[in-house]
Amino acid sequence: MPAGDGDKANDLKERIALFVDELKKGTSQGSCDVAIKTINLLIRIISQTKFSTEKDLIRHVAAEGSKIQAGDPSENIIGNIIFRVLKIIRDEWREISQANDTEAQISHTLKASIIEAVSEFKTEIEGCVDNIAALAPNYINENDVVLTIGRSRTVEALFKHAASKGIKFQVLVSECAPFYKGHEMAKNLAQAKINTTLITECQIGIVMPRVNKVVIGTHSIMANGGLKAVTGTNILSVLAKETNKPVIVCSSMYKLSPLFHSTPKHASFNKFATPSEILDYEDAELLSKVEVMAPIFDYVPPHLVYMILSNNGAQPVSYVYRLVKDFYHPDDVEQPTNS
Amino acid sequence: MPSHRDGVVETEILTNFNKLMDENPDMSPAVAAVTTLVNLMKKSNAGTMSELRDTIHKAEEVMLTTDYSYTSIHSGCDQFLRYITLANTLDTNFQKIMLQRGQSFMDKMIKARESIAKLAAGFIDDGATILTHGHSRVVLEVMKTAANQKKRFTVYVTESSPDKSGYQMEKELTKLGIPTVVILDFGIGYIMEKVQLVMVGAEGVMESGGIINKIGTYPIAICAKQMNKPFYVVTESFKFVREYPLNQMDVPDRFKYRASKLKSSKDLSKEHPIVDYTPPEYIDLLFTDLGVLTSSAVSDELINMYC
Repeated sequence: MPAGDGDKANDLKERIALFVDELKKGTSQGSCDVAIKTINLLIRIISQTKFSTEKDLIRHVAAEGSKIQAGDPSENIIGNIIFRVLKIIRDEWREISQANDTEAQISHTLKASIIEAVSEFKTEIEGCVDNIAALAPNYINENDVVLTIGRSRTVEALFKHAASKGIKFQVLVSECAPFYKGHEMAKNLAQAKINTTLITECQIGIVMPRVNKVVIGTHSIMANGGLKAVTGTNILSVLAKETNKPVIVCSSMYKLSPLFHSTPKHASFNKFATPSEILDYEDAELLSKVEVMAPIFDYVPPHLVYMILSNNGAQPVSYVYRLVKDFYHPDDVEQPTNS
Repeated sequence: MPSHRDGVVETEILTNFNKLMDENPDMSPAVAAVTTLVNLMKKSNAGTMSELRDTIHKAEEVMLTTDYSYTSIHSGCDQFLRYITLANTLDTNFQKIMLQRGQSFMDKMIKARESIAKLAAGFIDDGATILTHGHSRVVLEVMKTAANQKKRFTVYVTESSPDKSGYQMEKELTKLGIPTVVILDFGIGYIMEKVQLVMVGAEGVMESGGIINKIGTYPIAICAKQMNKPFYVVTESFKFVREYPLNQMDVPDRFKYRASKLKSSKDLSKEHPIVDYTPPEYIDLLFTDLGVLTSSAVSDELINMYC
């Protein structure tokens, strides 16, 4: 459907292209950043669209959304936000069409109330990290030894909040090779005067018996409660299960995906980064003899996860199906066929 | 109503039901039962709600005397009654409304299999190897859909004693051009390491999220769990039953033995049960017309239906 004003339409196109570019280059600043940028674009798209029925709007938003998603098909967050916004449109329409009779009245109030609801959702996302961090005193106790892997902004905020409440605990940070985000995490925690130890992935098995709990972040949560998280998380969770340590996942609710990770071959599940950290370009002659891979994500099956700490409080993994049902409309979500 | 009249209605129900089952080998007993009920309602001149309810209950009892799956007929009829009686019963025109609701329930039942197939086929990869147990119409439909999506996959199917329905499954899958191998029931342990996933149907889904299915499903589920292979159940939501078995012994006898066996046999401990109960912890996902569910979601859906 053609958008209204020519200038505005061009501006929107440019903004979308810019974001898609950013996604392709992978220069975005974490999942919250991606979520907020997606939602900002969607608000613009909705406000610039002229529509007569809610079906037109849904179709338009879905079409524009899939253009954004094409920038990085493995970035579930974009899909999640789009599906959530589509659900908001459906809900708002149902509410308004019940209250009003004439179609003119409906379409008049619909746009304003959708934008208001979506903005509310945006505010919710912005507050996610703080909300989760505020739960820290319930889950981090005095003298705890907590193991984490890599860097997650949410987990970092959680630890810092616990420390600010005067709780004394020790954090073991697994460095998360080959990108070593754990180094940054360890540095940040140490600066906040938290007793921090940096370990390598190989040491997880050794330290696990003296750990109280494992607290990790995740890229997204699949619809069956499994995690799509940074590589190394699966082995960490398996080892935690072996010694019966609870794996607590800190994740905002917008990371909850309505998609299933059915098989390892799932078309858009994983992403591969440059393996330059594993093998130097200097050793390029080796490249013809060995294959070097650097996948970014691990799939962690749901039975290894103890609970999810979200901005709606703690949720058991077995409850994830219910949240998916509340957040998304099945007509908006089509399971990817692997063809 | 005089008793000789009852007898006439009974035979009519039975012929109607048996005819449906004979003429449509693809039809689930639950669908045939509900179709019979709708036909019955068209003819019935029940003047009150409770009379209609009685008629349906009686018809259900009659159909349950056949040797078709008790679980399936029972759940279908139960949900049917629940669904049609949710309408506004104060309306004097209630017969018409109920019949409409009954028909819409039946239509939904018939469409269910197609929508499940679409959902579940996404979980079959190109190059997959799948183990299934005996003959299941809905599993067949899923595989047909996946094959139509140009996916190449191999199916291992157990021969499934005592009726050896696995050979029928093999025949139908081969007709669709899907490479199929029949294996011994005891061959599941041997074959499991080659298999990517297990996909079975169900006669009934219990409130716990566990399933009642053809005998032999439980050991397959245990074996799959042990070897960390996903165990998927494909089933229509009209097979959800309000029962909560705690173990095999706790499953009602009516579910475990054919009606004719129950009547003729004095000592059930010497009889072979035809179904077993697979507890929810062995089931990874259920593909239903209500969407892809985890087993904990089943009780939620049942509460939605009945409360």
